[in-house]
Amino acid sequence: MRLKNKTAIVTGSGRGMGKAFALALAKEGANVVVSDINLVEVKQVSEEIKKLGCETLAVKADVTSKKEVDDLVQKTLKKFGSIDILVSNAGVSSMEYVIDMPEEKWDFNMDINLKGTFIVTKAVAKEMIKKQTGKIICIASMAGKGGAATQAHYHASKHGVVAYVKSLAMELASSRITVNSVCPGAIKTSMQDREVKWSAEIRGAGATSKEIREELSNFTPLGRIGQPEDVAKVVVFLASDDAAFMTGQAINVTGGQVNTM
Amino acid sequence: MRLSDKTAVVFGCNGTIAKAICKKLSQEGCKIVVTDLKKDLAEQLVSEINNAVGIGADVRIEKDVKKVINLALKKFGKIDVAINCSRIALLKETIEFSEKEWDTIVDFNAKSMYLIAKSVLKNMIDNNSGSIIGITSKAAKSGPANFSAYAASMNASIGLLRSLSCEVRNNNIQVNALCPGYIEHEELALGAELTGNKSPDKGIYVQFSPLIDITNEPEALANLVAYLASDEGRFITGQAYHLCDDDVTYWRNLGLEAEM
Repeated sequence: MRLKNKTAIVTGSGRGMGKAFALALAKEGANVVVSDINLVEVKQVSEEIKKLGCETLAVKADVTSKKEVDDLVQKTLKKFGSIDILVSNAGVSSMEYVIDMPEEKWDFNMDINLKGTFIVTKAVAKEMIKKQTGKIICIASMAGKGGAATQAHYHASKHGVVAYVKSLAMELASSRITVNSVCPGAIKTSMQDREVKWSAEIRGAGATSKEIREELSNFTPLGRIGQPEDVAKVVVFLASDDAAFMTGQAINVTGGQVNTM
Repeated sequence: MRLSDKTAVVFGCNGTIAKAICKKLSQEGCKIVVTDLKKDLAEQLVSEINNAVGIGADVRIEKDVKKVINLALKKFGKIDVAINCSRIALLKETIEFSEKEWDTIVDFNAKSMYLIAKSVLKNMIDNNSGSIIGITSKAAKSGPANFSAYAASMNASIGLLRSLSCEVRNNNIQVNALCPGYIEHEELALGAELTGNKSPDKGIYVQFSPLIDITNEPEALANLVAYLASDEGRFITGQAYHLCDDDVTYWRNLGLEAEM
């Protein structure tokens, strides 16, 4: 139990990778605040954590709303007294070529993935500075390092997170707060399910989701699509004192997929 | 005259780097539409170089960007090169940054790149030729303290350009970023102005490595832009270059062997 008596907030933890992070942190003994825009899902995950014998709180919060994020922080402090770990995970994606990309889609990706990261980390950092300790982990993506057609907005937002994390790490270093980002590759989540479906539609000519999935595995040197738990183990490591001397990094969890850019 | 048959649009001309780029393109025979948030700055620069027209435009507004593209097409018939020099910066701790300040920085630096690319692509695809260049910053790679929105927005621009380079691979269009090693005074001044902050003292700028020679860098970057705009640079795409004063040379000059 590496995280006994620690309190963690995980945004976007109603499902997918965020849910896996919440459960993995709880299994290491942390009190976990589950947060997402869908209160039903948030409560379900929170119930699962309770069954593990851990303290938990379910809070509905939209990361693009400063008001709701402040409320998330206050509720956490009221119940647990401090925030030791933040996993800023809430994220979205969509797929379109730049030439056809409506401004709303640019804003959608940038607002939730990048500005949401700023809003959440800013609110939590203020509290961590008071305690002069803390671990902030931002979930970026392999898209934070390379490029891919039909997802220029998503790549822009994730590149933004990678650079933002480096700057924030420098600012918070003197308060002994570490800030790192994690860059997952192809991971089996509902986001990936949607992207696989869109890819098949964009490609046309009878392309099937099955073929796209096979391609994703083939592009991954370890030969399989990753599971949320693969990433969760790295998040737990970064949240633990094992990673005490790491800050400002962007850690790939991609099954060997690399970007040389 | 390597660019005598080329036409370029340059967005944002208040800084030394942007001016050096416009002058270099003009010297190489390129026809240019120069634009800035402040119309008089564009007109001033146009009066100093050949074959150029000036226009005012806010790069955060799609309508404004399209207006520039349409002017270039009307004047010159085609666009070979699109360069985004729109950059603003604000020196402030992240925990003190307001959401409004964040939006201003990110929209001016990153959304501008998306709007420009989107608006100029159709003509380039029709011509099966083009070069898109984003002037970003080395901060995108290094992530300096108290410039988190700036670093995030500049790396966002690079992410967009890298993805776009994949999208237009078969259209003979190159897409690249250049990363100057310092933040110009003009970026800090305009950033302060647009966010309602106190203007930095005259001549203040921010350098990311002690070895950068800011008296030479604008010209060196302009040379690289001219190369990427020319047919010689045809096979270079999806890259984000900074000039040679990186951290490795820094350590070496201190007499310490860099661990490679």
